[in-house]
Amino acid sequence: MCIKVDFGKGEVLLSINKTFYPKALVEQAIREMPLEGEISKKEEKGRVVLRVKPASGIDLEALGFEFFNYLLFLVKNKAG
Amino acid sequence: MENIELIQKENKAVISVNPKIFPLEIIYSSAYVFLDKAYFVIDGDPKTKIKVIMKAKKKIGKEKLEELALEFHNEMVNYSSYAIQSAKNQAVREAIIKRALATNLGEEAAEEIAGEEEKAGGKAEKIDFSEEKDLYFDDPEGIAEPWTPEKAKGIKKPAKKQKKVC
Repeated sequence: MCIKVDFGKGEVLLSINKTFYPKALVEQAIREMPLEGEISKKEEKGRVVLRVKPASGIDLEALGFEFFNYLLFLVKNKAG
Repeated sequence: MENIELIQKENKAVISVNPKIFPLEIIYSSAYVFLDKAYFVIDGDPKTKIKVIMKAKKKIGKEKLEELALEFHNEMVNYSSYAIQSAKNQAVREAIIKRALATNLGEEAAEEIAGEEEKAGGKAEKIDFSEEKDLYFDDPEGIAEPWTPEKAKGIKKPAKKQKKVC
């Protein structure tokens, strides 16, 4: 699954396939999405793995899905 | 359906798409239409099987979830049809736009465009406007003359109605 929520640590892991979501757009989404909190990024096997630890009280799963929707928005608008 | 897996507990549907039938561009465009209703995650292998994970934003029942997934499918068909038609009409569209833009550019530009059209295999017939055709023709029997009541012979003209005063 591309979205993994760790409620214990209060963080969400997003595993993003670079074939479908180019790395440049992932970086753009990180810059433009109001993700307040700790964000770390690493790459492995054609995927970008984001670890987001936002301020408490935020729906972690919804945050992950919103990030993917924003990525889709960027991909679609880049493609035209 | 075989290619739609419903996970009602998680409010999700996993849709498997064959990229040979629906290219990635079609999937992006179709998912984009549903951004207000659902979350989308695209994963899988772009050459063999693309997985579209769709999670409804509102909690909905199994039937509604399936309906949403099927609507997504319909949207893919819709976009595919649009893309095919668009590709078919591309040359014609380009020619029309070029013509429209070159209308006021003068003869040289028009000739250049005509040359490009010929290269592209355009089959449009050329219309020669250099000489205006003579629209007048012989009328030995005089039947081309327009008929008016004043020219009529042997026909009683209707009496003019007079307004009576008092």
